[in-house]
Amino acid sequence: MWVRKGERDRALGVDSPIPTQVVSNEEFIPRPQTKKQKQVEDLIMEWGTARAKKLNMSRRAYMASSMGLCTALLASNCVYGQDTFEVGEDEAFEPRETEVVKANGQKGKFFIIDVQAHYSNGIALNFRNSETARNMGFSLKDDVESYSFRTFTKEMFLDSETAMVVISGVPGKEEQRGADGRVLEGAERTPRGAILPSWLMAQSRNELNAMAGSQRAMCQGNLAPNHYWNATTNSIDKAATIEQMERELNQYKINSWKWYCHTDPARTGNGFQLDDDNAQWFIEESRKRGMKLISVHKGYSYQSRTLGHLANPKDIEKAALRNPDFNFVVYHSALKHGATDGANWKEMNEYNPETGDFLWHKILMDIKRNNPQINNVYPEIGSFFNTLAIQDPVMCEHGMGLNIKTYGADHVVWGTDCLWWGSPQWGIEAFKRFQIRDELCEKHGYAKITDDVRAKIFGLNAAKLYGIDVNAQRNALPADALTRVKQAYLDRGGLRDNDYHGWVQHA
Amino acid sequence: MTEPNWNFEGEPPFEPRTEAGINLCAYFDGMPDAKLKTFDPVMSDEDLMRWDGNFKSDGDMLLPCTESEEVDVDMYRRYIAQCIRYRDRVRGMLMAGA
Repeated sequence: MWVRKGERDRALGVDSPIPTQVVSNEEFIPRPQTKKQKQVEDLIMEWGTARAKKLNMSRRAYMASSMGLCTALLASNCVYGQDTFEVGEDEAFEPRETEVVKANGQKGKFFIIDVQAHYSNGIALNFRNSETARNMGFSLKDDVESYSFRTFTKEMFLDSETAMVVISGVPGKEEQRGADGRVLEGAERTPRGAILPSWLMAQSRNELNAMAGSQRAMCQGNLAPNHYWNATTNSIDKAATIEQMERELNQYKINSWKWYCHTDPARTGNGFQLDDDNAQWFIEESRKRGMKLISVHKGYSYQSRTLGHLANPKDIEKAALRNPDFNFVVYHSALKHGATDGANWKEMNEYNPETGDFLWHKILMDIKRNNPQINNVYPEIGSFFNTLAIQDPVMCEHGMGLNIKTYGADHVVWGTDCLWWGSPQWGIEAFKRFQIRDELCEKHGYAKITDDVRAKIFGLNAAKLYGIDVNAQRNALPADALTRVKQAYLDRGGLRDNDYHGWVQHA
Repeated sequence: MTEPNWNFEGEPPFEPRTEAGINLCAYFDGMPDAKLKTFDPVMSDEDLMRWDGNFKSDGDMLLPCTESEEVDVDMYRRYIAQCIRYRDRVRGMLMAGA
């Protein structure tokens, strides 16, 4: 039985500022906690409890603070025997300028845009009934959907320094017309339910921006080349695809497409590839309408012979070369992490500690190595940086080092895959302090991670892709309603929950 | 013992083919024959979920990368019944060739 990491932690009395094992985002079978991860967990609890006592704080408050986060990163360094995270012992007792209360884009050093943020009506949330949640100015409906959205808003904006989010798609098609031929609207378009259909992402983005009084959210559109299909001719239904394309662009005003080549919402019996004829037709139609940004899931795949291989990033090469005016953001940096690799995941992913290569990340790297002229491919690091940071810090150093060395620091894009990982703040703190050890830099030619590099990855690269004026945003956000809500939340003692929503094995 | 190269996924679909169905067929192709033989169709839903081990506390199966729909116990029962028929039909032939 799989349970959410938060459930597991509560059952064991664990309150950890970082996840103490990898959580499944439902794209792979959860892995058992390793001995080292258990050691990290035990150290965090031991040190955190003692330090909270020393500071005369409750353990709950300490573990929700940046001091607690630093304690967790120190524990990771201690167990893995290296300083993957540059954190001083003093930070476990005294917060630096990066404390959440001073940040949120306007005062923080980094302007953080998370291009892979999800919420789901399946996430069990504790926020609605909490003391701090009451009378905070949320003008949301009181249903399951808004219940989840409320926690999304809390964990992304109140509990983290994230300034802007891209609500990222989960595959699913919309029904266009009812039996009477009437054009369907809103929830009618997903009568069997859906996690994050395009209409809902657009609605949530609008709601969030209206509540904030500034642009805090963008959204993706799920439409892909295999969503509308003529079963008689076994070919793409171009008329229906164009109708939906125009709806998502003109009515929903999506900010990017989000594609999953290995999924089949239209029940065609197959997926698609970025370099096949249907995808190219879609790209050309999208070009005519001005949308030239495609975000695509690659990596994390299942063993199905029919669909699994379609998440291999090999098709990026031809599509990127053929469409140099488009940008392709490759989610998860194509980290394969097969569905059934379990405890021997490194072997199954063909991780080579000598070269730093692993499946299918190497294929993504080879595309650029073989085509240095490619300038329109961007590795995204949601459930890549955070997964590897928890699973194996050295492998994380290789993965990030290779991304930056191969594609350039101006082409690596911050994403988290939260809320699977709870509030993204732990990943933000980890990346602020993340460093590649000298030995790997010397041997592999990786560059040290500087604040300039962090600033690009955290938000400046995504800002270029999405056409965001960062300076204007930095001026607007301090005065917006969401910043005021955040201040009220913090003034009332609001605390991050250290509640991770992805799946792990039952305790 | 070497597991034969099962290919229930490649069988003609017994109900309209869906992404979840394709992935569930692939899931059963990865299930050892010895385990599948212990499946008892009369077991309760709770026992089935325990027997399989890949169900979530919300009652649906964690079938990776099945993004468009959930797999519940009813769907699981339909597919495993067909998979058992498939294996009974091809086992002898595949074992001979294994």
